[in-house]
Amino acid sequence: MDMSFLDVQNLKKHYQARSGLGETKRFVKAVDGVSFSVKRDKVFALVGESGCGKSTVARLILKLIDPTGGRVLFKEQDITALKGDSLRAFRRSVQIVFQDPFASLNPRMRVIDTLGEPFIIHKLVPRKQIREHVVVLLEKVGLGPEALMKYPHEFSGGQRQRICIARALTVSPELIVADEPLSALDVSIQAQILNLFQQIRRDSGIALVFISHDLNVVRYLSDEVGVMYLGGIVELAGTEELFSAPKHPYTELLLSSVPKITTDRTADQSPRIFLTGVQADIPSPIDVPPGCPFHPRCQKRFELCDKDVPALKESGGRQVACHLYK
Amino acid sequence: MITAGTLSGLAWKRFSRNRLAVFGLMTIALLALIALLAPVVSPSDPTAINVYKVLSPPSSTHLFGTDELGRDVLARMIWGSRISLKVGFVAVGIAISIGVLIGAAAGFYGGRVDSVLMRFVDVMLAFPTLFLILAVIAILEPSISTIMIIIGLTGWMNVARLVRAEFLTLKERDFIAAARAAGAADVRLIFRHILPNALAPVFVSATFGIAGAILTESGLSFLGLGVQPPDPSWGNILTAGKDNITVAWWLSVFPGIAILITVLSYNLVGEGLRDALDPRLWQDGKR
Repeated sequence: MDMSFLDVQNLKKHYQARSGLGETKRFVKAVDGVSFSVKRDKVFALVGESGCGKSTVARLILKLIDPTGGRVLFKEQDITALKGDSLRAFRRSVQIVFQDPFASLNPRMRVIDTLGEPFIIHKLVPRKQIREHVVVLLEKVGLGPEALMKYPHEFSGGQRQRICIARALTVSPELIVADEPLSALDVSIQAQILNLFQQIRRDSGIALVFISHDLNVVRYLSDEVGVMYLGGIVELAGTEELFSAPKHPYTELLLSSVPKITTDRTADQSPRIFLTGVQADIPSPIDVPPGCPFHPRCQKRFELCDKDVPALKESGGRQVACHLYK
Repeated sequence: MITAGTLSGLAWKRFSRNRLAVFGLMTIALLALIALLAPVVSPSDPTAINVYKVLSPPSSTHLFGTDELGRDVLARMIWGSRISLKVGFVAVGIAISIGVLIGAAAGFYGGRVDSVLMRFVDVMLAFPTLFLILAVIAILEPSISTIMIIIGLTGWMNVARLVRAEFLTLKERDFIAAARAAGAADVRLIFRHILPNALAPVFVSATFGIAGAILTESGLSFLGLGVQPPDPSWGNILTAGKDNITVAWWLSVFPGIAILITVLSYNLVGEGLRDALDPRLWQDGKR
């Protein structure tokens, strides 16, 4: 086994919910015991519904917020305790691309200032050479030098996302965390940005943690997938294994919800699972159901499910958190 | 989508459509010009006493008449406008500097820092400002610099609250997280990333603040606690006017109108700025 690259161990982030006078304190368990590891040069995808804690995991990996418990090991170094110079060194290794390209660029800074800033902070190049380096970066993401002096509001969503990706590339990171980088974009633009990510990976071999709820994109891009549900990982597997034979009932549900396009009417298609009524909605992370958090929506639940919380266990070359698999 | 121009260009476009605000801005510019050029445009020495022309009504030689010592009222008002301008800008400058620093620290760091600083703001707001100023002037010598400093020291709380509120929302934005991920230190985040985006309401507040400071200075000078004679100020010309109001209306009317127009102009500009800088009114929709 090679040296571990990114190791997330039992990561937890709980937020205190606002409570009235005399009420007992309640916690929103945004992330509750998430563990996975990412290999060098690979793409790890985190999928799940809105509100399952994917973005919180992203921010924890970047040390933008501090965890309630657990550790994040980057190249065997616990980043949750980093400070000062070692934190600044870590910031050169891991970068992030956010979902909303309208909110993630400073509206009062020109492109050259936004992209030049990491060079200044980390003293990577002399100030006089920043301009040419920024031009090279822009070229990498498919933008011309005329973008230099413009402000963010002069660009379209796709162009802004290109600028955000360029900003992530300034420090030549080893890992980029992309937090739903496509979901705010038009479908035609999504394909362009997706190809940009592929191209960057081919050129520089940067590892990627790709957070998404678009399973087609995940299948196309990733090597390994973690399926999240209400702050925990319910299934962890290689992309092909997961998509060809999902084990956890929640993974099945997610996969069945993907629209399929086929020209063959007689092709064998797994039936679509429909949830109605109470089952259709994801429970609030304040009131996580007892036992398996997925049991109120599960088609295959049995008596054990609302009593015991299933642990993530090895099952046939992958990890599943479900009482169906022993 | 806007094809060209910056955010400030957009705001200027909105501002220039507001006729009253533009009128206010032009009046302020004119007053500032007069104040700067006082030695040139003043018809005579504002302190030159002429006992033969005591309380003479407006005429071609003395457009605004003369006061109880025969001094030209127009000349005194022109020199007095320097005081108003200086008090307005210096006092508000002090207030903004303090308010921005305290509001930024409270909003950015939050938690205990925020609680302590904001309770301090509450305490400061609980003081009746005018009486505080009167008390300080009773102890210190009444002078223009004392007044400017005290108005500044008692006028920053509103700015601090505005800046704090802006910081609270801006610090959660993704571009701040991105700058943090790029390794930006707190000072850079506060002054380079958050503050430039938080200044719009501060400008608006400053404009209203200048109007308030000019009024306060006039009031204090009127009470004899501000600019001391023989130096002229709109407030202390009014004091002389009060004593002679039955025989010399021009001593009260002209400085009164000057104060009114100036304060009104600043308020009009303030309101124009408030509308022009309100992001909810931008056609762009997203910032």
